[in-house]
Amino acid sequence: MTGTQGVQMKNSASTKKIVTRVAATGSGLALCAALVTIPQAANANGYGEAWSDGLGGRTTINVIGSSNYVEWVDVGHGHSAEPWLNYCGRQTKSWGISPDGMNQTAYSYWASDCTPVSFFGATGHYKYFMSGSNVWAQAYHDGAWRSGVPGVTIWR
Amino acid sequence: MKHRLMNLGAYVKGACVAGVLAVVVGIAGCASDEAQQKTLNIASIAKNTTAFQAEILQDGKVTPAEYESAVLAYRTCVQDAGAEPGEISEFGNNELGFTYTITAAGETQRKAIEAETEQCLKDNLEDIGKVWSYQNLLSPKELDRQRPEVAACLRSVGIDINDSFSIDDLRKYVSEHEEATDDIKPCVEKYPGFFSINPAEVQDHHDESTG
Repeated sequence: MTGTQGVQMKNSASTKKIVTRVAATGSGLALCAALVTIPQAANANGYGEAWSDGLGGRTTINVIGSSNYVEWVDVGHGHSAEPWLNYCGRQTKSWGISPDGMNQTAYSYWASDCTPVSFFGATGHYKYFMSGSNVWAQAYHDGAWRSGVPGVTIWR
Repeated sequence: MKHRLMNLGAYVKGACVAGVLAVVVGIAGCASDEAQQKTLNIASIAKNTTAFQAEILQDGKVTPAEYESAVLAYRTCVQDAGAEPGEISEFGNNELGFTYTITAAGETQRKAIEAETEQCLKDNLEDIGKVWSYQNLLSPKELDRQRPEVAACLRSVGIDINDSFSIDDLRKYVSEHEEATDDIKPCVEKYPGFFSINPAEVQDHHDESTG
């Protein structure tokens, strides 16, 4: 359940254009047809999304950085079929591979309360990632990491 | 740090006030505020949590010092697992937290450390945090005081709502205007307390197994 889509990535801080690809994947044996990931049109910073849990659940990844340097990754999660849905206990994480082959994961704050609308969590890396490798993201709420793992391919 | 330990007696009084206000601001607003008053079953949480959290919850409440100790215990556990936690800071509706990173030699090690740090949360903070957020819910009076400001914020992002709107009004609006779920985010961030929902009231969790 993966998909890739070539996109043009342009860093807002400079005019240097870099090319990335959006990849999206789902995880877990419980995946069903509704979880088939659909690569979306990417924005300037490298964007991807993947269908997640039920009710139109969707996790998004937005990579902020320049070239293969990733400053942070915004991870969002929401449900299009139920725009007003309470999310209790929230966190996000993103991970990838650095040029020396080391794996790195970054976690957002853990929010204990309940919010009625879709949420975002910023995960800070401030590291170079291996050119051609994927940065992945996942969202947690109500006691479980949600299926649907969107990714963005990083290019130098 | 401002603390709002919940006083159930005050909430009962608040319900009466809300009932009177309902005549003025509408039935939906009253229903919404009353919903904030549902009681979280802390005894049940204490019974089913870890020993560390159960000890804190045994008296049915979480003091600021106890909450801070739980956040610190979580951070220490994350660090001991091999991750690098950042500084603790305040965010959201009177919550404390930190971000952290994991650097590992390979995927297997990364996943092992991830699992360990995620267990740290369950062992030290998850249930304490739930009770803490419950204790920090705004009272009906506080909600009413903040309502006009929130309404102004919502109008500034294009949501047509009056000063006496209720959460039910907003829920209906968002349900009918899907794009509003993104539009209201600046207001949710600016007024996290107003949009903090009572965990005891949450009944619409979706089926996690649904594909």
